[in-house]
Amino acid sequence: MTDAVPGTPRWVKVIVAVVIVVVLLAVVAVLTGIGGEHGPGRHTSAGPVAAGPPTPPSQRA
Amino acid sequence: MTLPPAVRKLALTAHVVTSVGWLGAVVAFLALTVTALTASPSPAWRAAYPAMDLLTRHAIVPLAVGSLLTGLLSSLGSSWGLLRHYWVTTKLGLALAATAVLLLQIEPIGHAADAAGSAGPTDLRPATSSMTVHATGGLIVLVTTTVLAVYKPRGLTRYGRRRQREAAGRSQ
Repeated sequence: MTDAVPGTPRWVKVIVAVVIVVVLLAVVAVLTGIGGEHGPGRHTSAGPVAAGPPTPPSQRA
Repeated sequence: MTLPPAVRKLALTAHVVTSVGWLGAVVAFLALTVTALTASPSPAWRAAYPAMDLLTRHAIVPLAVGSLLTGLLSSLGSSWGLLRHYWVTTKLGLALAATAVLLLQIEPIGHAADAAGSAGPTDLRPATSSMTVHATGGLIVLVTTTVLAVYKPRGLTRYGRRRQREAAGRSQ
């Protein structure tokens, strides 16, 4: 079993910092459009694919 | 609440199986996204997208949910608890975040599978790149949770320290 260590361990701070950076990058990517258009529309922008609704999951194999 | 040892072992075994299975399924998904990114439109390219869709809905999602549920049972049913040790709490947070992102990806993956199966021309490269980035992120998270589970790094949360003090007070 782990010992009692006062305060937040360094490895927790590192993981939290990495998560914050990743979330900020994701927000920036979405806001600036670097990450491309999000949502189903990004897959239906070309050709006749846009004409029909997607197949419901229950009807897929 | 501490589970009987036999039930605890069973829950832990189920947790290891579903967690490692989740990681393996994400690796398989990544292999498909790389195939889809590198191959030009061909039978293999067309087959990759429905395979990603099936793998996501029938393997990755059930394994992720199973991993979360068995993890909750294992932690709450043992002396580790859910919020006493940083490694358990961190693992829970990462698994919840990975599952949330996974659930948001189901629909785009399904749309890509539909688009790849249609007769008309379509550019799925941006969508496939996005899937690759998300799957790579998921893989990093799952490797991190596996490392945490194996090494169990030290560190009690504030709640864990309080529970430890209370237990020490009772035993005196």
